[in-house]
Amino acid sequence: MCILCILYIHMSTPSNTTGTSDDTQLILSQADSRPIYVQIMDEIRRRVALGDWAPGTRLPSIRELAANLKVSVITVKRTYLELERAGVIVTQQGRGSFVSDELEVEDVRSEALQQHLASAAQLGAAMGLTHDDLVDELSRHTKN
Amino acid sequence: MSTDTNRTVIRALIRKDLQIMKIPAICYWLGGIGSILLAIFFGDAAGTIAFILFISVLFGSGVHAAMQTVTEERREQNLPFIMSLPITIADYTVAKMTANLSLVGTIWLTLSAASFIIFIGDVMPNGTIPFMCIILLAVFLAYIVILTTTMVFKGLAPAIIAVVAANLGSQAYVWWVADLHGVRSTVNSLDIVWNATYFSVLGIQLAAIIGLIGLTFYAQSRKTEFL
Amino acid sequence: MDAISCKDVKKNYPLFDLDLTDLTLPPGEVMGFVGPNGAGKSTTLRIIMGLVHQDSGRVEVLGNEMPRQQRAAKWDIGFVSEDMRLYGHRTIGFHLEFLKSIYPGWDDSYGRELLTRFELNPDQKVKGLSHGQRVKAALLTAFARKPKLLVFDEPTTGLDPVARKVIIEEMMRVMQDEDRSILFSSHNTLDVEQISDSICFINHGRIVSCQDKETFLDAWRRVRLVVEDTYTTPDLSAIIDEHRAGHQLVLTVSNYSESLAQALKKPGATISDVERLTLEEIFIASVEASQAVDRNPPVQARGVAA
Repeated sequence: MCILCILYIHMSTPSNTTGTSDDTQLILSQADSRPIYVQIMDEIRRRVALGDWAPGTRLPSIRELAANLKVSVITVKRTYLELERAGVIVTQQGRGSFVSDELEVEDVRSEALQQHLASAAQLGAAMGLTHDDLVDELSRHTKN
Repeated sequence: MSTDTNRTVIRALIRKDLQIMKIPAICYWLGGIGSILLAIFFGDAAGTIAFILFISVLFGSGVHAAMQTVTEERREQNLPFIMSLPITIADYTVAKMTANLSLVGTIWLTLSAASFIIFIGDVMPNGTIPFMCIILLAVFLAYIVILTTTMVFKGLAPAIIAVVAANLGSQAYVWWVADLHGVRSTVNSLDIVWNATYFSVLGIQLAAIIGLIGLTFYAQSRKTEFL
Repeated sequence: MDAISCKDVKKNYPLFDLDLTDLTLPPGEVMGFVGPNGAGKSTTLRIIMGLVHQDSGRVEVLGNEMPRQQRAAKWDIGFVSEDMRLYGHRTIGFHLEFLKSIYPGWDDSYGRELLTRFELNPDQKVKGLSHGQRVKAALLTAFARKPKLLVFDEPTTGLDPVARKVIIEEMMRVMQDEDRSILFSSHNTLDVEQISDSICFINHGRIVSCQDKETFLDAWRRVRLVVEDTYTTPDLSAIIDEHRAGHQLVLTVSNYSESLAQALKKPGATISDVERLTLEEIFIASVEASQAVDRNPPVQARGVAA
């Protein structure tokens, strides 16, 4: 499930004039053990959450992204399908995929947060921490 | 694909083989001319040496061409590259045989023709000319035996066996022919005598050459594995 | 029109039988061809190229029936086999010129681009190249033809990581064109897993499975269970491998589903984890399983043999 090495990829030529998706780098890590499509989904989500890819931004075509990331076309297809199902992107037949207009960047951000909190809660339960222990642990981080 | 483009590929393959054999071919040719000059200028002293050298050059050019363009190409694993091209086994066979026959054929034909210069003057009796034709054609036949073997059979062993067999076989054969009555009785005469013996021997040799070339194409077409 | 289609293809040798029931590569896809040494990968690729004639069955490549129409098919194929060598005493440039004299649509600038990307010098003789450079040069002669179909036998074997990356990059660049396809065999499961759209797995001359990569990888799981002493593993064909240590049971399953998980969760067992497998792990598990079957054939099979 790994990418050969850390990939710094320019998905399209940076175009400062149009204001569309400039600086479109996706960086995947070889050491990440999750399925590649999940890694790409998270990367795209992160871009959207950070506001780098505003709603309406056109995503690279599936084959373009596959070539740039050096991963199979079917993996990128799956990524886009899952992102579409999650409402992050919309695909228009023959036109390509875009960051959803109806998407609240806040939602994506909070979704990422929810994911992290959920896994923290899971881990906490496995370690036998109580609800209060977990809250204490979290507040230690917020104070920092 | 049309036959036109197919011819393009076959031509390219022939050109490639000729290019690979260009320098050795020139060397053999010069060697052949050298041995003829040796016979002309030092015929009394070095006649036998010149003759052996001349035959060796003819035979050597054939062995070299077949081994280099067929056996070596297979051994060096160049065949998958060649067979990745838009050609069939038949195309490959046509290209390989044409390149070989035209290259060795040209060397053989020009040197053979040039060798008859020794019959000018009184060094050799003209009656030897028909026998000389038989020897020259026998050398070419020996080359065809080697070419056919290397084309049809894989590996170095069959090629080496073919070279040894063709070399020894052709010598024994020529001795045998020399002893035929029709040859013995005319070979030292001052004038050319063509008799039935000469015609039959030459005819058989020619038929063997054509037969072996045909056999090569047939054997190649029967192959179901070609690497 | 499929790039490659093999149906019921058989080829018998004295010590080996190849039997390809169905191998199909649609256009625009990369197929990874994996299997242990001697599984029949190279023979299959040669049959696809028309260089070995099948005893029976139909092989079609780019709409051409093989081996009969191999001339037409090979105009659009770039083939590199593991045992293929360029002419040692000639330069890389010689080979490119040779190909240029054959292919009407030859693109000089693309050839130069590839030489730069592959870091090869056209004036260098092949015999003076390192192993990696030779492999790159051979692959270059295939890429440079801009074929519809690339057939590579072990393209990245023996290459250093940088050279491998360059080759993978070039293969993926080809795939930007949705009419072009690649079939490549490899022992490097990382490469196969990374760029293949489908994976064809062959063992003992038979196709074990041939399906899209995502489905293939999704189907295999490692299930970790905590079991009581009395627990016996259910007899399911999906269970490929079983390891039990104390109260921990680790199963490798080839056809994971929720219902399979339910079947395992008999009284006295809880599933503690379900993990995905890498292609390498799947590869090893299935080959080892087939070897185990060879050593201890099931009673049924023995009955048939007798």
